[in-house]
Amino acid sequence: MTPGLTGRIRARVVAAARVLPFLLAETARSFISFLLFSLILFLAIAVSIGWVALPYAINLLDRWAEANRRWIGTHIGRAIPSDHAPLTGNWFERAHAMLRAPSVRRDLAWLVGHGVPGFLITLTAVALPLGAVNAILIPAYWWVLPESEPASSAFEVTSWPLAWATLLLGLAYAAVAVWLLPLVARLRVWWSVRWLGRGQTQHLSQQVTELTASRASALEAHGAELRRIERDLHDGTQNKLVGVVMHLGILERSLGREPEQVRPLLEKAQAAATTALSELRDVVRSIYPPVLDEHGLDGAVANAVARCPVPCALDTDGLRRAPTAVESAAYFVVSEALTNVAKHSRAGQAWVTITTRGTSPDERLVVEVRDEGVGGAEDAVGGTGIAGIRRRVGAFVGVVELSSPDGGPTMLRVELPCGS
Amino acid sequence: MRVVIAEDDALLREGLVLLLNNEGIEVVQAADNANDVLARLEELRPDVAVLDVRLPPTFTDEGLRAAIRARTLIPGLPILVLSAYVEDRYATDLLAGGAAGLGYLLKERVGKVATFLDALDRVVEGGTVMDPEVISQLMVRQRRDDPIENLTPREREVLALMAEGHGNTHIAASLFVSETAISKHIGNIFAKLDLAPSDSGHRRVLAVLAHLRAR
Repeated sequence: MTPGLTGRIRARVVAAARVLPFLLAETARSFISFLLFSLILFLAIAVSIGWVALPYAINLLDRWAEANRRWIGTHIGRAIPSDHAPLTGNWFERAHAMLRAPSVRRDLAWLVGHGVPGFLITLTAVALPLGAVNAILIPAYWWVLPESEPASSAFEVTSWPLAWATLLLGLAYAAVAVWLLPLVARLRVWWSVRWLGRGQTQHLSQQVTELTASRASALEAHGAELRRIERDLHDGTQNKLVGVVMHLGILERSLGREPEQVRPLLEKAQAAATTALSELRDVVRSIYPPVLDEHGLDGAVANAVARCPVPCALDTDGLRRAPTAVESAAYFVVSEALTNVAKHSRAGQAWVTITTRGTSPDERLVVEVRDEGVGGAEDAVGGTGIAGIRRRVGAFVGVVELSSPDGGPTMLRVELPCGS
Repeated sequence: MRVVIAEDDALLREGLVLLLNNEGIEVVQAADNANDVLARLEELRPDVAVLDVRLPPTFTDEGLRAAIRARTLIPGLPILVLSAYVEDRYATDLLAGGAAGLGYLLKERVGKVATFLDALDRVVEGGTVMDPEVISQLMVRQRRDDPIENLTPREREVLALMAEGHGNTHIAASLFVSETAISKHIGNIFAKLDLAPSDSGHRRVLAVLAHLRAR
């Protein structure tokens, strides 16, 4: 025997000993799986009452599978991703989802293997080392037992040659156990990962579904944004320019007839052209404020806060980068809200908080603008600011909450999904 | 002439009133939405209604729908629809119930006051006015073996003016040719396009538009 071989044998024994607690726990779990499987089988066969109760049992299976994902995940040191939410809704909805969901079928397949052959194999595996210990110890105690109840392993031990034979048998058991235990442990892990874990194909198809959904909502947001820009250009700039053209037309007709009318018409046309320009500038800025590009969202908002005539505190803790369109909308919300604060609130202090909540794909930009002013922003006459905010945020399927009782304070809270 | 107006933009509404008043045309109602106009239509009995296409509340095609409603309230009521942009699709909807006394113009045409007043007059007299933009949208659509290809450039010019709703006199004046020459061109066009000749202005427009759309 070389030292290397001794080392290897020792390593294998240690490995086998290490998986023993896991296998003992797995034996117990297999037994529960077996009971659960029997229950489901019974309910499936016992037509009337069984079918009513079946969805509840499947719900139980769902939770049991989830627990096993956790245990196996802890054992192998990496999480087994769960691919389905627990069944919800009323009995019919659950039954319907249950029959349709491939995940439920996979859980059932897992349960059968886990509870029936799995139970037997694991029981055998954990029995081996116990049998080995018993067989090895027999030479030490068989002679104290009464002849009517002899010690027994594979056979009854009634003489020293038989006792030594059990010793050899015990060593053989131990050898088999050392070889078999890690194998069974691997088999169990493989089985659970195979059926409980998301299959590669399933994982990919899930990803495709998620991407398709997020792409569709991105396109939807994009479309809503284009409609908003079109509206702004149409209602503002375009109409004002038509006004310019119209007043120039009237002016042209007046030149000969009523020269005294020319000057006010010229002034009207000029005023309309100036308004058109300023509205055009607003639309351009709303598409993508240049300051966002130069300073990022926090810098841009810091500028807006600094410009605000009402003293304003800014908190951008936990703010992460978001898609350009989302940052642009968030900036728009803050500047509109601050314009409202300056114009209507009569507040002595305002607060702006911007932060990122949640993780992809539920990541959201949360904007809060508060002031201790006179409130009443809901039914303010010039409520176009709030309407603009709602429209802009609506394009991203975001949420606008406005609380502004008469007498204040006013609190505007906007959540913008960042998309995934 | 007595006019009602539905235009939501205050600047344009007041501008229109000023423009028409300056020309001695009475504006009996200037509203910022279509419903107010429809509500008083039978009471006011205007000679013509000037409607913006996009009006509150939805800012889509309220003006067009109001035009159709108005014509059911007062059959044959002359209506001039103004729009920030024109769509031949909208023109189709508008003309679906007959083309007599209907006009469809880009808003900025108002700036050429003489042309605008001429259009208004033609509509009031039961004619049809189509914005040149609508006609050019229809004309640019190309197709192989299109009978329009067989028209001479001059005949195409005449076709476009005809589709805009102009009469022979006006077409002759715009192209600096005699009315007899125009009649000859129109005869050729109708023959080449396989259209039944028609003298009545708006029927002619309908026939030409139908032909252009059907391509």
